[in-house]
Amino acid sequence: RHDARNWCLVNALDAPATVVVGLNGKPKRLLDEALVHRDRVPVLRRFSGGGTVVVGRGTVVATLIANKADAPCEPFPRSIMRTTGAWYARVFDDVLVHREAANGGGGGGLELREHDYVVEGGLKVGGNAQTITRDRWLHHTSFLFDYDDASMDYLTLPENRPEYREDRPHAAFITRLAPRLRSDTLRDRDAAALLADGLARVLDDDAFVVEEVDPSEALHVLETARATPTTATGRPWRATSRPLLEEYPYEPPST
Amino acid sequence: VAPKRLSETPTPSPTPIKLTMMMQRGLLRVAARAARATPALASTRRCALSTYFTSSHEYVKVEGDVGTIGISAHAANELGDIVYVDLPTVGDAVEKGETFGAVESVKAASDVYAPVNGEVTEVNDKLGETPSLVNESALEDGWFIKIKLADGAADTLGELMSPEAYEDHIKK
Repeated sequence: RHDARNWCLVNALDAPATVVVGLNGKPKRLLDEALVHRDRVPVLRRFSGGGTVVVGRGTVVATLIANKADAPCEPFPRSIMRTTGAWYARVFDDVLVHREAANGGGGGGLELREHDYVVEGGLKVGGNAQTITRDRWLHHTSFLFDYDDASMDYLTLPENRPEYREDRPHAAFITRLAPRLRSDTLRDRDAAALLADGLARVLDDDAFVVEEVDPSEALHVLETARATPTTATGRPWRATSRPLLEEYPYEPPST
Repeated sequence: VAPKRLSETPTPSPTPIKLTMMMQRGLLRVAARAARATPALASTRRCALSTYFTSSHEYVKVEGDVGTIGISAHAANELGDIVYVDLPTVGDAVEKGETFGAVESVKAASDVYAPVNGEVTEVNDKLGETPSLVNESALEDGWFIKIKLADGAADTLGELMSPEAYEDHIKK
């Protein structure tokens, strides 16, 4: 909201497991509160829509922010995801070892299925969420290159879930990207660099002029946003606007 | 289709009155379309209920100095299943072109913008329990807020789109 440029931000997380709920997610319904409290897991609420994720070491978060006038899609969720889904399919097409789905269906590389990025037809490797304003949209994705199996126990089976998931628990629904990468792709770079290089290539192919900047430039925009009580047009910021991330002050579950 | 003038009738008409009446009805239909296309010309006294749309897919239904605001059925359909609507409170001021709330669908949080200046007089509390009303009945039961139009706000309605113009807009 405080910068008019198109952005592509890639972050490799290096922190213990953290739960992140969507704009109006209900932790009491979405989490195993006893486990979360036992392990003192931070629970954050983000400003975008979408579901609940556990992020930490092995998660690479990619954020795309585009002006409506520059992006090849309508500023609605399904249109945005078709565009970003096509981009990410191309990013991963060269680096994934393509495997067929266990049931013989689907397969190939990474693809968008309903609202998720999956491999092998139905194993989720990336969850995404969006925020849409009149003139810009943001699409961010948490890619699961690696994760701790036990951390997925913090999440319950959500009521609102994609049809293709059926009733699969998290352990049977998600999978890691790292074991599916071609052995030569991570030789000289880490997962974040792999993703960033792929996005730069795809966006450059799609007529964007890609300029690499130091992360401090993005941090500067965030700091300016926090310190500025107005939008980029000088209007007062809506009092009910949510912060980028806020810690959920959950109470210990009643026994 | 332009109504024929009596002088262009190819054969003597045995029913000139009927033809005249047809012309009058045609002219009346044309006049009615002109009135809807230029809502700014309608006084609040004559205009019982008019609906206007923004390019960002909000609508305002105006009756007197009361405006009912929501998002269009097209927007609700494109957003997908609505799961939450973030609304202002009674007494808040809304400013034309500025965000007054947000709609969350399964995968996105989308800002909603005020079509006109005013003060919130009522909030649709039903959306708290049943946000799906926005998908089911965007222009009726799925309204977001009612406002009292600010002084001079009615004069800005002409900057918005008529239902017909909005239909053309979403087809582009």
